Amino acid sequence: MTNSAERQVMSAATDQHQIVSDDHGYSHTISTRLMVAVYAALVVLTVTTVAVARVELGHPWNFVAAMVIASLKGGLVVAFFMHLVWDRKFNLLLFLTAILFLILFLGLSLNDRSEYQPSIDAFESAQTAASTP
Amino acid sequence: MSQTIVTPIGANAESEHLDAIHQENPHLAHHYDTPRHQYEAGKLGIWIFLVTEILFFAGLFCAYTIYRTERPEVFNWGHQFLDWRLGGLNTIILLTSSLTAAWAVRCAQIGYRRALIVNIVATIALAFGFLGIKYVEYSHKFHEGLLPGHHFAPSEEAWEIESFRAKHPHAADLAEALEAYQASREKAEKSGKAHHDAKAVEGQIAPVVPSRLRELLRNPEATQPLVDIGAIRNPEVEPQEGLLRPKYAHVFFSIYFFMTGLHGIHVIAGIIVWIWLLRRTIAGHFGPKFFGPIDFGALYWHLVDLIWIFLFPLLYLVS
Repeated sequence: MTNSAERQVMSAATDQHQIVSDDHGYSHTISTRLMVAVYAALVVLTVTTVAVARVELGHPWNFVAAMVIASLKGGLVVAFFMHLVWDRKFNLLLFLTAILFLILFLGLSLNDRSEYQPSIDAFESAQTAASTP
Repeated sequence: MSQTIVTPIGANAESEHLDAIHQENPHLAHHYDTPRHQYEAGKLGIWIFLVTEILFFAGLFCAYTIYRTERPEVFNWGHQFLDWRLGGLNTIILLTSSLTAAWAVRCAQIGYRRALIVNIVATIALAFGFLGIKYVEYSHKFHEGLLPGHHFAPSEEAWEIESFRAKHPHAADLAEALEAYQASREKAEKSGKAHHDAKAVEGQIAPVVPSRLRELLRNPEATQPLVDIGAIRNPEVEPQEGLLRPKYAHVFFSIYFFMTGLHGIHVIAGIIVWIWLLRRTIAGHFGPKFFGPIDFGALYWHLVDLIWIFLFPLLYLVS
């Protein structure tokens, strides 16, 4: 009886070991080579974002380029340094939920701001009128 | 013998087995069955914390977004007072510290204690390097009166900054010449000497001021709103975006100090966490069976890096 119970606990442990398919203990270990490659990519992208900012791309495009590069860098950090590619998918879900609510927060606030644009303009012109008698 | 464990004897055996696991793992808290169980729970906890951190910073990112869409000129003007070279250097420093943090986790998992200590010390040193550069930047801003809200009293105009001159040398020369002209005219008016001095200044500024503008300057009435240097549109002059200080210029520095300040507080908190982890590492707490705290500290540190990755282009690289 004792042996069987022990075997069950043990086999449960090995199953978990296999699910994560890691090479060490109960969590994935990132290889030195991959870590340095990710770092090199992050540095290259930092240089790229500075270089792109010095070129005039026209109104929204400099901003779009900067945000795309920042998102790529953020993606690399989250995926590899923060282990999300090997992690339980639930942690990825948590992260994506945060991003979703961040987008909702910014998006709805921006929409609201556009709605109030006439009030902002009215306030502005009233202030200008008050300051120039 | 492949029956399931439902008998009291089986349950007993399981609990005995767990007792053995707990004896082998001194850092395993009593309410967890296995080290893995404890690790997964801790990881879930730190991820939930990171989610709240992202949403915490989201408030400031929202303020930034709203204000930048409403008043882009404030950002075009303000970013010129930030040195992208210092910001870029700090980005590289934080990225490097993220590498050492990730490396620390690897060392803890494999059980390389010495390498773990080296990586933690490197991470702490880089974090102090980041704060040192931030100190240089902040003290420069304080010195120049580039402060948020009511404390905003800039001692420099945009055209006096090296970076503006490098980008628009002609516009900078023109702005300086116009400023000199205006000062001389005011002085002349005060002393009742009419525009005699203006003639002399005109000679000095002639090489840099375009001919059409020189004609305007001869006619004092036409140059009445001289203060509005940036409003002068002349085909011979380069685009002067960011030249004139906008009405709500101080808001740029409110946003700058709040965003980088909150981030800086997180860097300081990170240093405290790493020092605590260093002490525990030296005490020999961590190894292949127990490395959760190192992993969770590193996750927090990567998030601090992640936020800076966005702050750098948003504040320093406005174009």
